[in-house]
Amino acid sequence: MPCKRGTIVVDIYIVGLGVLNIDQITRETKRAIRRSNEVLYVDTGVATRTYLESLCPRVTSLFETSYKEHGQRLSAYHHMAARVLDAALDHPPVTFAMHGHPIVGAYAPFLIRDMADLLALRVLVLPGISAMDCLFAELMVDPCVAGMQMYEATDLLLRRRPLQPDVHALIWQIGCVETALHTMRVSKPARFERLRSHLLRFYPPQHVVSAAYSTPHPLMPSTVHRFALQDVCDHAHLLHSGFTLFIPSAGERAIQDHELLRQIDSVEHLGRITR
Amino acid sequence: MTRGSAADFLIRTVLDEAFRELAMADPQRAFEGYNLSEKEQEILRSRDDRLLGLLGEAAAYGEALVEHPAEDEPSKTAASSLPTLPEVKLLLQLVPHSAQQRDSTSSVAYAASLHPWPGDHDSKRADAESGEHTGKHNDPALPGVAWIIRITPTVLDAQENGLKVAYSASIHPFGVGTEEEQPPTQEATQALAGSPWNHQIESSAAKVAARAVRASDASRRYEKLLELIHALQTGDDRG
Repeated sequence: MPCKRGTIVVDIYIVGLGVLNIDQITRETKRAIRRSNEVLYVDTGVATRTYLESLCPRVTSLFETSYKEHGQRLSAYHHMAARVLDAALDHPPVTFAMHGHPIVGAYAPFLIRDMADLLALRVLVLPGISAMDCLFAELMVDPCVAGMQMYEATDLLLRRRPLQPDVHALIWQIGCVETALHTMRVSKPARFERLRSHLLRFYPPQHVVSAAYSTPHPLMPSTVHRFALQDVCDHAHLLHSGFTLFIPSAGERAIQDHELLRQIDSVEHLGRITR
Repeated sequence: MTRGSAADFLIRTVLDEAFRELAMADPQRAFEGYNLSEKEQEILRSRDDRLLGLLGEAAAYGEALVEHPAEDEPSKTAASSLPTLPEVKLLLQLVPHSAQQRDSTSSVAYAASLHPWPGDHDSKRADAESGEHTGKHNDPALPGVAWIIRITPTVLDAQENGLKVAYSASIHPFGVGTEEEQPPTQEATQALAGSPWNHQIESSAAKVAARAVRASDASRRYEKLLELIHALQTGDDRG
């Protein structure tokens, strides 16, 4: 059962730990963890456990028990959800903490929410800093200027989703493209051929794109590889599961509504559309 | 890896901001007291992509140090030093009755009853045991509804003369009685169609599986939760 902020009693907090190890944990997330009897987390940051243990006496990493080489990622999410609900029924409140933003690119929170609803448990979701937020800062991208379309890489190919070349595009999880299985193995160039073919339907081959990986550790700078779209396969060995592909717009769409263009600086127009 | 290793160094640079500054400004000084190989020192000085390899080893090292409890180890208790009080759950049922009026119009009256939470009993059985209304008194055209009332005590303070306790109550829908016969509402169907994951949250299989989770003891709860996931995804009972 979803709760709103300010709710006194919560059984399960679902929180994001941000991308940069512990530095991007928000104050409300910290409070939620402090209130919890157990925090179950999925984050491979070097200091995550040590830090969480300073806030909560019982800390459980779910990464090692969830992901297995060649295992279904879906099975990993089932395990996470079952473990979190099990803990919440036994000793609420508990926190389920995930790397990044808990709702972005993560299925387990949706499962937990619906299971909690059926079990009359109260859930509060708190946002975290996602890879997208980091990418905006690192590449200096304002999604309000040229717009932003975003898709998960495999879903983009499965549905052959069309792209608007005059709008920036963000392709999540390119390092995991073409599989629902978990692996830590290095990608071969062939992995990205289908993706390249699809993108070249909408963008010129020389269009320069950025593959960005936001740093998980303060000593290490974030990694950005810039290359022409046609060369994406040549970078296969570099593109691990943490990379997001940013494709800048390839052109500007002309303004169509010139009447509105005149009105946006007009005080009279503002008077007509406000009280 | 051993204590004083690259893993410890990397963890400290996250947790100790002054040390982090030192590691960036004067890495050689920061290395003092740590047992780092030449290669590790070179990677930590250059702070390039190769650091990911060290981070991976450090994460594995951190998990290896953790003493994982045995699966059957009982759960630890709350973080707070204050005592905890158990939550109270009650079942509230509303049973509608249709009645014909003198002017030939019909009206609906509701009988409300409050029951102890069925716990590991089936809710219908608990209903019959309570001696209150049953389906035979109910108009079949007017299905009954039920809610769980949860009363959660929070101990604010513990003194010699007693506990200072605050209570909060919440009410949640709970499907009992006739939900097996009820098709999903139009609203629910629309919600499912709009959901990226299409959970069959309104299915009788999911509700039955949820009751089984509630009724199970701790040793079987994980297994029952996986069955609930299966029911949510398929709308079918497992097996």
